[in-house]
Amino acid sequence: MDINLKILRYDPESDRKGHWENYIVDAEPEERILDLLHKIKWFEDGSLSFRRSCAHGVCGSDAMVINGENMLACQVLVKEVGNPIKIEPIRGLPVVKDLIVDMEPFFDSYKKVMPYLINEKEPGDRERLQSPEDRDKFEDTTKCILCAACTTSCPVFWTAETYVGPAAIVNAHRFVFDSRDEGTKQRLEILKDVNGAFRCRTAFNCTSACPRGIQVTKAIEDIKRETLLNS
Amino acid sequence: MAYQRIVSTGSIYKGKTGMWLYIFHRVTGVGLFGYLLLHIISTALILLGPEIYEGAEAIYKNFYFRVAEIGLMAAVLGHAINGLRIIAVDLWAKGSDYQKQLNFASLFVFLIIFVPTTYKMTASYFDLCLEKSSEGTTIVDCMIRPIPDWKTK
Amino acid sequence: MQTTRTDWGRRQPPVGGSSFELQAWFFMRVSGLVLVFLAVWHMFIMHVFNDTLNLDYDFVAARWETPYWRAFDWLLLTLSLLHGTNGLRVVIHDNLADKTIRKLAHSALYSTSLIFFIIGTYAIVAFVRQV
Repeated sequence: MDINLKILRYDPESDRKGHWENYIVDAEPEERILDLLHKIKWFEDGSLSFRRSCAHGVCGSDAMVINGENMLACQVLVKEVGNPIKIEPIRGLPVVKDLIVDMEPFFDSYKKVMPYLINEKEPGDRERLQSPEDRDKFEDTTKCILCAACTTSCPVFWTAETYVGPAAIVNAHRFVFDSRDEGTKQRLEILKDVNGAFRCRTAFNCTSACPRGIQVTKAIEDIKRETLLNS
Repeated sequence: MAYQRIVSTGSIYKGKTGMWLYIFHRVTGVGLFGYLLLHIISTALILLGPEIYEGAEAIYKNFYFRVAEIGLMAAVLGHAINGLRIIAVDLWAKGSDYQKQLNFASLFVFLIIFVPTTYKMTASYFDLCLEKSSEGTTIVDCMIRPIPDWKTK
Repeated sequence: MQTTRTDWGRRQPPVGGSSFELQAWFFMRVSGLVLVFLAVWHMFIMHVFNDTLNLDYDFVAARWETPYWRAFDWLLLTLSLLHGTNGLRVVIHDNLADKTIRKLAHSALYSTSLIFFIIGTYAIVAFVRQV
């Protein structure tokens, strides 16, 4: 089956802005979009640039806009998106080349919320224990793979680059609702900022974009309510 | 390294209902603020006496403004009901779980109130227009002409 | 655009600590809830129970004879202006990245709102029936 791919290309050395390029690729309906990109790069046009690492939906490298929606190229099959297929880089982050964007601002926001366990107490000679109920409170947000699909689907993030974005808030949620963690106050203080959780306008794009099915907006709402109750 | 910040590439992001409601809320919000300023001025004209106030009001007494008023009603009702939905999502712990149901419920409530309101506002316009116009005036006349002498009861 | 790498060591001291955004967010919900009743009620009185075609000097003058309606209108004026101003503050903040332009737009917004608040309040308070 011939698939028509339209890819938004950008080469910083020769282009001033992005342009669309068409490729016709022979593919089975069960093949992944990533396989199609490989076929182009390996057999048709070696200059096409994109990120991928594990190719199995775990490393979070290949988030891109496929037919107008953020998805992982390694997770979506040809039959799921139809024909033709339009592929663009994720939005709101600076494009380095073709489908590769600069993830540094994204990771800076992530680091801002202190995504690690803070507990100054002496752990003793065994693990810090937690009840299954307490573990369930943040189960959903442990699944994040930092692919930036949520953050770059957010209409607020597209125009306001200073917004920390859904992914950072999801990762704050993972520790704020962890009973072993003691950094809640600091994290909520950071997210209370003008670029924090209250920048969210509940468009729910992040929730539908998440390839791991995390209820992203729900996590942001939990953070908002927790901040309200803690102040 | 030269970077380009691509925010929009010309194609529209395929967001779900939530994204469109967000855009709707922004557009109606900005629009209503603009109308509010206009409304404050036109109402404050009442300080200058009946002639000036009613002179300004006379601009509104035609069918085009009735359509605009129905649009205003839609914006107010839509912004209000969508606002209630946002409050539910924000302050009710289970709000985001029932996001889709809340979207449908808001649309349903909006239509339940807006449809009869539109009917009343349209019917009432033609009733008053025909009542104040001379014999033989048709509905079409009412649509293209301002209401004659709207002050006479 | 070159992005500068910021080094975030472990244990960041908490930032600023201003609760303004939280308070503004909460105010939008509370004022919005009140406005649902005030504004929709106002719209229904003017457009459904009455017809705006009958709106004239006498109508407003009769309405403002009772202090209750003056209070109602003033509350509606104040809350809708505050609600709208904060809404536009957020829209400006979201869409204007340049700090100088943003500051200018914000100042223009705040002065406009203040002037209209004064005009509106003056009209409601100072109105005396002429005929």
